[in-house]
Amino acid sequence: MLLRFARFVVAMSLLASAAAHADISFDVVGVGANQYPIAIAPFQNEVQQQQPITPVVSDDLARSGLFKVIGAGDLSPVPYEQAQLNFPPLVAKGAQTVLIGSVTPQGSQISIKFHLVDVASKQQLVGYELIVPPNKMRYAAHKIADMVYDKITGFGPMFNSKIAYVVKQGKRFELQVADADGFASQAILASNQPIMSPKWSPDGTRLAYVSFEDQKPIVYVQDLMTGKRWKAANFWGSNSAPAWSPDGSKLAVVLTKQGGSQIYLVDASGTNSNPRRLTNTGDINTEPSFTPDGQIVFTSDRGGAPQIYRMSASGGNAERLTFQGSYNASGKVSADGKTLVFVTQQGGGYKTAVMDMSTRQVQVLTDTSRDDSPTFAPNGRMVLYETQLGGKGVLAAVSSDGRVKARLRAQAGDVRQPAWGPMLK
Amino acid sequence: MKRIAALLVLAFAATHANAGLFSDDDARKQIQDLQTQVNAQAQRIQILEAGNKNMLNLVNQIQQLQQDLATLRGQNETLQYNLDEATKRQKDLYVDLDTRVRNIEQAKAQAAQQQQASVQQTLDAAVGLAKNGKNKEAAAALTQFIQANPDSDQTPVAQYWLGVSQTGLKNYKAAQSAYAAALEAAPDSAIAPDALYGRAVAANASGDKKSARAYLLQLLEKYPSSDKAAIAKKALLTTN
Amino acid sequence: MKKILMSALLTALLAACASSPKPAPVVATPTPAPVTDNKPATVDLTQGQNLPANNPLTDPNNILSQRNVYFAFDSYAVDAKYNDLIQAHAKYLLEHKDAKVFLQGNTDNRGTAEYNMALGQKRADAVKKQLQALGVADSQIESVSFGKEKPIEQGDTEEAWSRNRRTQIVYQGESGQ
Repeated sequence: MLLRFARFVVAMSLLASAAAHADISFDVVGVGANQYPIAIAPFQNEVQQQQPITPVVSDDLARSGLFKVIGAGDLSPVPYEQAQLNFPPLVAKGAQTVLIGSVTPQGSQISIKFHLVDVASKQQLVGYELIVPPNKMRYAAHKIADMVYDKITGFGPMFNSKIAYVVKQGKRFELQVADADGFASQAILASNQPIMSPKWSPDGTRLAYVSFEDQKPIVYVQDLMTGKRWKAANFWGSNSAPAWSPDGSKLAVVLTKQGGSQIYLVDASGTNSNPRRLTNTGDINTEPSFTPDGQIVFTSDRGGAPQIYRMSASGGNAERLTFQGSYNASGKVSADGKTLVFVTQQGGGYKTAVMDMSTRQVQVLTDTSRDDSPTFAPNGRMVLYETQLGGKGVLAAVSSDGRVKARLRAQAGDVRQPAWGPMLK
Repeated sequence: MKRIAALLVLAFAATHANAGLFSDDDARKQIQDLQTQVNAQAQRIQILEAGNKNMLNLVNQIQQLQQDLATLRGQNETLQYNLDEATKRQKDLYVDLDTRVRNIEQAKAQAAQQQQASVQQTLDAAVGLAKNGKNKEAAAALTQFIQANPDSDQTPVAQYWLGVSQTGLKNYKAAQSAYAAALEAAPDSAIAPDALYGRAVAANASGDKKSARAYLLQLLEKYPSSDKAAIAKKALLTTN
Repeated sequence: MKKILMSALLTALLAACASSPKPAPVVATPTPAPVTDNKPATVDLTQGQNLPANNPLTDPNNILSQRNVYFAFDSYAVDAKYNDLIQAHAKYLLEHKDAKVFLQGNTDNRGTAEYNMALGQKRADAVKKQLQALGVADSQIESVSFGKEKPIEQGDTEEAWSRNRRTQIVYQGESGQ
């Protein structure tokens, strides 16, 4: 099974390499406890498009670790519509569901029709038509993968989203944005000085980040569509670790203007001159991150070693959340508020771990030792994080239950500090 | 250049003009004064520099104290957390333990109740025999019961009825010892006056009127408000 | 400070006179004054690389050319062995009110990037607090952090780690790292 996946991914990355060289591709290792066997038949006429649909859908579903993708291109004839479905061969392949569809040019647009059908009951589970411009085929494919994934698992969508990360190659730093599967990457900022901490605005239209282009860390916000950028926090000392408020109007940032590293609230527009200080205890309060209910989790050394705390967005008393181990940092809470993902030091290594917010039960997810910047998928089912492989910074993904691991293919330079953005509209 | 030359000339003129005003001694004194001043200042510099070193050490000490304070705060946080956890666990444990103990106690009480019920049944059966005048069977059953349950709170009852049965069988000596045992075991119970009255009856039947009379008097004295006291009074009046 | 320097020069001159057989009391007039007035030659630090050749900040024989304060593992206190270096820079800044330094804190590459920014800041602030304690104005010292983003030594060896745990003193106008 694993082998088949691997081969599939190899084929995928060959296909993709023609399109974009710098793209990132994943190898899936380990699978979910329950895998849903799904047969996917190539959509009618999809090969005539520059970007066929079903390879992207198959790749998305396989990467989740929850699906066993069964090729149905060898069926004769290949079914495109529900009426053409011949069920016995699908039953013989072990498929529980089957995905079929067609691609039809419609003027300057392209119509994509698809059906997800239950093999046992022969009932249609999803039937949908998407109309997109030819350059939005990947977008359409991710959207279809999400509909299939959500219908069968009930976990909500995650594929049709973007990720941002920093690539360091020699002395050159690039802030890149790509599809959640690592394809269609694009640099939105290049610099000869370090770039750090990209963070998506809740609506996915802007990125906040830290740039050292002025010989010191300054927090910028950049509009992705227009490329317009401005300084959101540029105070005496260091400006770092931005985090968006849920409504996208404010940034929690770390400033050092009054000594130590403290968390402040500033307007994302960069117009405020008087930031509001939220922390007072300890020398270090950093890595702020908003919870879905508007509180802030952050890392503090107030207890003599980095631990994760939680406070209200107006500051004040903080509650310590982590008690296992002497180094817990980079905490972020999932969209449902139930899980905290963070980096914990264990046996000399830094590993990605999750904590159940109600029971405080901790589970270490990874066996790598240089993890950093874990970031949840929009539905909280996967965690993307930075780690090291062969002395190089790479991105890796792990399911929130630790069962499925996806490692990125080797790429030029160091890839660091990923941030998984919200779902695309 | 010209200007500098002019200045030099001026300077010379000035120094020569001054020369006449000071003697050698004055100059020496001035030099000495200045020397002292310089020494004093050098000393002050030394003190200042030593002060600077102290200052740097102080800054480091403050830093160290802050670190220590943070470590203590961390320990405090951990202790508080562990305490909260332990308290919670202890509570859970107590509730669990309490439930278990209650279950055990309930089971035990039930078993005791059942046992008691069976004891009562055996006694009732034996007493029933005595009441129906089956004295021989009753005496055997009651003797067995007393042997099997020497410490039961029903034993005095059995002994009383054994006294009754033995009286019926005209075994007055045995009857007396049975009644005596009942009285000794439960002098304050409801059967005590009955047992004393039984002793009087048995003594009377065996022809020991004196003892019978003594038992009746004892009955009147000890249990004056009992039913049997009224009967004893009548009996005493008639035998008198 | 200036006063002290002046009187020191004065006594040196006077002492020289005193030992001579024919003391010339004339020197009592404060002629050397112009010399000290000229002393704080304006060092234009804003000119970057075009620093004068005799710049004390770059003169390898001057302690001011030493710019790195290294820290032990997990330590954020300045070791006493840097007292002379710190005092020299404090003195320079006190004498040059228009000079400004950036204190750039750095960490080794272990731990999360954002937390290391704060740790680097702590190392920069440690040096800043010492300069402040010696009377240097806040406006002359800006402490910033580079976290683990700009290591001078790559790799995962103790050697590399200890080289990267440092605060670098960079004068305004110098290129820095």
